[in-house]
Amino acid sequence: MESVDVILGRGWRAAKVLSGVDLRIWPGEIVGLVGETGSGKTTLARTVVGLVPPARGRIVFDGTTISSLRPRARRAVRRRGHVQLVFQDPLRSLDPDLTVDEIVGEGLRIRGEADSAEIRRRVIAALEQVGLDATLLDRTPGQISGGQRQRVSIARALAADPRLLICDEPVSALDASSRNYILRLLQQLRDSLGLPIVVISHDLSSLAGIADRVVVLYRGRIVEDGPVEQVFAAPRHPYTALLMASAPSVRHDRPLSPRQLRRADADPAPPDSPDACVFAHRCPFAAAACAEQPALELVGDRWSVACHRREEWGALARNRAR
Amino acid sequence: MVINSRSPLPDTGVPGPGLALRTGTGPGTGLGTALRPGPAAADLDEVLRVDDLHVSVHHGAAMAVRGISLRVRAGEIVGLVGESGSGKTLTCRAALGVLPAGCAIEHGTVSFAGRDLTAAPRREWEHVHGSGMGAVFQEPASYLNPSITVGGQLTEVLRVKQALGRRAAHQRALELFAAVGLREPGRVFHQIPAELSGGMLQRVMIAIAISCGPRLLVADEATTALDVTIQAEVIELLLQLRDQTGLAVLFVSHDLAVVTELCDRVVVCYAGEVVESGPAQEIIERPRHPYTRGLLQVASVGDFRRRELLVIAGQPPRVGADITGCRFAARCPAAIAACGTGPVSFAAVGYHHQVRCVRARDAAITGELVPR
Repeated sequence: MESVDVILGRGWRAAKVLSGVDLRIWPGEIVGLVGETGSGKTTLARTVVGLVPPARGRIVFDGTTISSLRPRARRAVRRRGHVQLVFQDPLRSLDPDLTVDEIVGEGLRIRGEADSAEIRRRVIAALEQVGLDATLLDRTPGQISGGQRQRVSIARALAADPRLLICDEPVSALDASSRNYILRLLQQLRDSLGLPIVVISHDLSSLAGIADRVVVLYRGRIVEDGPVEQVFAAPRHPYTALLMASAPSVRHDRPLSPRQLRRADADPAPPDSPDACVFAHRCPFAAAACAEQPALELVGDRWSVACHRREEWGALARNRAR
Repeated sequence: MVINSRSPLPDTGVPGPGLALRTGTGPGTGLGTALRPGPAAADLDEVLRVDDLHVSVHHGAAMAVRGISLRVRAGEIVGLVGESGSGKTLTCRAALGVLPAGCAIEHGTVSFAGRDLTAAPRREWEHVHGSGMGAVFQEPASYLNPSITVGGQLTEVLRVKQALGRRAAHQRALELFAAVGLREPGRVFHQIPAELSGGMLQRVMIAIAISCGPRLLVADEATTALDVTIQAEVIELLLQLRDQTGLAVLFVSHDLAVVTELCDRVVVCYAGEVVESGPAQEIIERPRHPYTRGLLQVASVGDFRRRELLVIAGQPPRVGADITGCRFAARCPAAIAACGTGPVSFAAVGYHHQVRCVRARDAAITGELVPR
């Protein structure tokens, strides 16, 4: 994705959901996409699949600029199924009246490239890849457990032989144990198929277990993008640090507390300008420079941050009351 | 009454402002310690007591809750943890007297402030609801009327339950909104639910729940659907309310990490039974039941290093399944023949720490788990 803007709605309702998003996904990479409700994570996923046309910028997939294709050609690209989406709540995203067999094979049947024996073979192969056996084929989503349902939605995506898998909050609706099972499964798929995977999640701690790179989105802008180990060891954007400090922990040994990273009423008012940094209104470290939106700048190998005060806020935060 | 055991930020070890210590609560109370069994507290302090609760579902076809007991004292936050289907939500619904249709208390008692309410008529429950107990659930938006201002919904409660006049109710509503940390109470008062964010709505729900000064707040997955930053704020708010008003909280969640952030004591449920209960710090540092140990290993423990993600093998038993012996044995890595022979007793293994496990005292399965 190159400097992509997405505007949803028209006229006075129009809202810029993504601004200037640059994102590259390399083969065999697991990218964790993090951000709060309304930050544009889901819109980003829908834009990559081609469900939402960008207002500006380019989306290139395997050398083809899909954002400039005409609707008919774009639909043909979508039908090929090279980019697959897995949704948050499998109970709501899977048709309750279809059997597992019908759900997993539906895309193949619509494409009409294979006969029914071949489809059957590929359905069973996809189920095997997610650790389910053929005894589930005739069940409906209501008759299997939550973890199994999410595995069925991943099998449905795999049956199309994708070259990019995007999982939108794949584990938020699951218990901790099934959550880890699904994340491990994604990691195995990447290892065995070399499949690049984008995982949208708000659980940073489990992302740390599987992702290679983490991309932090705030109000439609990427504020930090870098290798997961380095970013989580020493985040360079105050919002990434706030997300980490707020994550529940049984260890109680956070380097910074959420309060040190949250605006207090006593803090000086943030710069009030239409171009101000998207995070300035919540940032206790906002200064005059923050009246202008900072660009993403490289701070290390493949690590970039959009913050004017990236060198100063760390020391300031440590001096605030916990 | 102001009671303190932990500062609002549990990881600091520094007591928060407005701290006052109560004398004579036993050895657990002390500055900066998170261990507070509160044993010497008189039964007068006991706000909620659930004894040997059995709840049947599907009109008596299956027993989903099989003998859960717990108690919550004034100023105490008790966490009820377990996977989906463990009976935690049914237990808290029974405690609130709002079991869904088809579910019934088959055995055991629910008492509130020393009064047995198990078979209480609706009128008596109505008296307790709101004034004695407040409740907050997972999706605040579905418990609020979408077309009435949130201020209107709060004043309605105040006028009905406390017979306040229009002006007094308005004044009290603004105070409550400020108390739960809503920045502009006057503005929020006139907004409808759709105009507020999820975190603000959950604060409104908490304001309504505590509006009539209840002694107990039941929070069922109250922070589960919120963003992590908002979740941290709501947890701080609950700790602050407890410290300022001595509110007792029963906090139900499937996430052990969230529970240990907030709670003084933890009750772990599995397949309708309590498998372990004890002081939160004790449970984190020395979990005795293999299921609790499993939950701790799979929880988002606040570890941001690359690591292998662990799972608890297998599935929990069907709701109401008849199992001889330990209900966790089929999934337990430490199961031995003795686990399947008969009922496992819920035995004390430490100070206010009880475990339902045949091997609870076995050195092979105990020891420190969370890496330091």
